[in-house]
Amino acid sequence: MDQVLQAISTGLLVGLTYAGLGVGFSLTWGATGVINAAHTSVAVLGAYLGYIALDWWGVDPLVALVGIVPLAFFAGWGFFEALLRPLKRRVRLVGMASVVLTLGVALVLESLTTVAFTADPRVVRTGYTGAGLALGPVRVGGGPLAAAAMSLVMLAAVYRFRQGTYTGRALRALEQEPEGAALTGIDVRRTSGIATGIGFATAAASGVALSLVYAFSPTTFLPWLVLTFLVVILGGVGTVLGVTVAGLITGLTVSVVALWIPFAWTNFVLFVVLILVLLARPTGLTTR
Amino acid sequence: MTRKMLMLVVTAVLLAACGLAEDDGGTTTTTPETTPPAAGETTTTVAGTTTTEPPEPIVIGATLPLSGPFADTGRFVRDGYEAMAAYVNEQGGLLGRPVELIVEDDGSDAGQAVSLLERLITVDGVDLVLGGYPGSSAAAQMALAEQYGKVYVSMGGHMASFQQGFQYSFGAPPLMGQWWYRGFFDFLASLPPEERPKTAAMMTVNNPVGAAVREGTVADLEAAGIEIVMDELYDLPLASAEPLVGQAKDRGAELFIANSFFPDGVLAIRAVYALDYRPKAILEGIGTLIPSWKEELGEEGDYVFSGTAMHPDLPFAEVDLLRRMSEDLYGTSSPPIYFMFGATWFDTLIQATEGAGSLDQAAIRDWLRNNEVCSFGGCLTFDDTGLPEPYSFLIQVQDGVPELVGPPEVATKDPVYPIPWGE
Repeated sequence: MDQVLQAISTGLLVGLTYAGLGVGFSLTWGATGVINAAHTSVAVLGAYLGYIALDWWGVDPLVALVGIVPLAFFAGWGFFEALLRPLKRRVRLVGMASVVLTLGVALVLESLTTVAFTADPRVVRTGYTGAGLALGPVRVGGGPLAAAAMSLVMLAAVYRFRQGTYTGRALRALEQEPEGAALTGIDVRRTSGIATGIGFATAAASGVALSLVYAFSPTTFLPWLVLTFLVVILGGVGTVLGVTVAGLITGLTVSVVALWIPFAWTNFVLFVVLILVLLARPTGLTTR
Repeated sequence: MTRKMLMLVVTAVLLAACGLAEDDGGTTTTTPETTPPAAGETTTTVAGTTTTEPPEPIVIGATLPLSGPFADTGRFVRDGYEAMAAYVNEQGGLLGRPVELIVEDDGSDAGQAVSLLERLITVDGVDLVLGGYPGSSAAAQMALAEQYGKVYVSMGGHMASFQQGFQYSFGAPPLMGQWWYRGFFDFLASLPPEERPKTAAMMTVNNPVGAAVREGTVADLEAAGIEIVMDELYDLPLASAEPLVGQAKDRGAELFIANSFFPDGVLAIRAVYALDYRPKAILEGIGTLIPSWKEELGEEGDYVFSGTAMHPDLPFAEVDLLRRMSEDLYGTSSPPIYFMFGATWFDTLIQATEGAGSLDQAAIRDWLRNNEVCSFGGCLTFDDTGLPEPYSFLIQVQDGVPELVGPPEVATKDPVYPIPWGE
């Protein structure tokens, strides 16, 4: 029984962290139609900024989020104005074109981070990342616990913003019916910019969270992008709840299933789950 | 978003992602900066004017992963090649001619590594070739080198790659997964039986490198009479090592083995601490070999054992040269291990070519088969497969530094066993 509880706790922590990585990607896709393949490049940048804050000034990466999140938000808004908005005006298939554009951006960011930080992998070390904590019959690592807690706060904040503010409701309207939203007086340009800003901000914050658990380097954006796609396609586009549930399913699958089958089969089981969900609900677990 | 749209998007991303590995086509060329000695110079007389032409350089070609997932270590190998090329030119060149090095970036893709090496041989007409990295690229290039009759000095692709009857491939030294922990098991054999671990748990990355290390480890464990209570494979990226480490703890394994790379090795070690698992010893595969293990993980990685065919503290006179090069390149007199590998492969090829006295590949091959090569990793002779006698140095991270702890004749520190948990 203790083993099951241990596996569940590990899965929940991993799942929340994955959900945090996917939520901004999902919202940007839903609100603007842009599939931002550079999302996890921003996460890697966030991880580096947190690392620098700790290494240069001794500031805990979680505290450094006070500066990193606003910086990423405005960078995202600027990214929308500079690249995505012109793209949306010029092409009809925004999704496909944006993948190509943002993958190019991702490669540029990979090169820049390699030049700036070298290709050497980095590990964030704080007083809690290497520690363990006993919670009743289970033990959790300090890094995964901090990462999951931060992701949970972020998911709750995004959810509350979407449900409880005018801009959040405008964002949802934009996801559901862009033309209708414009007709009702919603400033589509501003709302889209904010959506992209939120996407960047959550990506950077998730990068900080992931850096408390995982080693990272400029090339890490690619495996993180695969995880992001997995969670968003499973959960559905433009839904905080769906992405959160998908993240938890992913985390629980890789940890709990390993109790009964060889660990090498966990990814197989995970993708079987993904296929079954998509067969039953082609737009993901939840629809917006 | 319709299902069709989702599939289109995923397909586009996968296609684009595949393109990432093929995108970088960077080439690094190192040409001699100094005028070589006159041994191979050509004198030409035209209309009463005598001009002396410098000898044609000997061109050495290689491909390395300078971008992509293996760039972390590939760049150290490249640095080793370049530093040795510059050194050879400073010393007067090879066969009296300067050396020119061409290193193509294969983007960490074995297919690209083969294509680019074939282009270097057939289009650029390089005189000599050097080994690629990692093992998957080296193994693929070994067949190509055999096809074109080019001596190929590299780490190889573990044991299977040296069992194909190739005549031109040499592991000098090889990075042999099957021998990885040989130094550790030799150390265990020196302990009283009651102090040795009775049970072992093993997690292995599910790729050819992991398979090679696992194969040798299983054999060594069985030979040592240690029961394997967990033997699990995992794919990359690893979401969490806690399920695996938790199993090892629950089964009471006294020896924990993570046949892993750096990111998953970090996850495994952190999970050991998080779950309060206290084995007598921890073995880790590749992660401990790269500088980030000590620079980034620090004391969290202490007491972990690993194996290597190269170490900066090896007590061989030749290593002093690499220490000086490392000081110039990295500001530290402790050269990175993959820098040493690159330098050693280059040095072996140069010694063999000088020994053969020509660029004839069969002559170079025969020289390697019949002579001992003494370089930065010690003195090696090669059997018919191109391999030296099985060996592995034992390293252990102590105070954040991977120290050379075995075998006793080269060790600079004593191994710490069992792990002093809580002290």
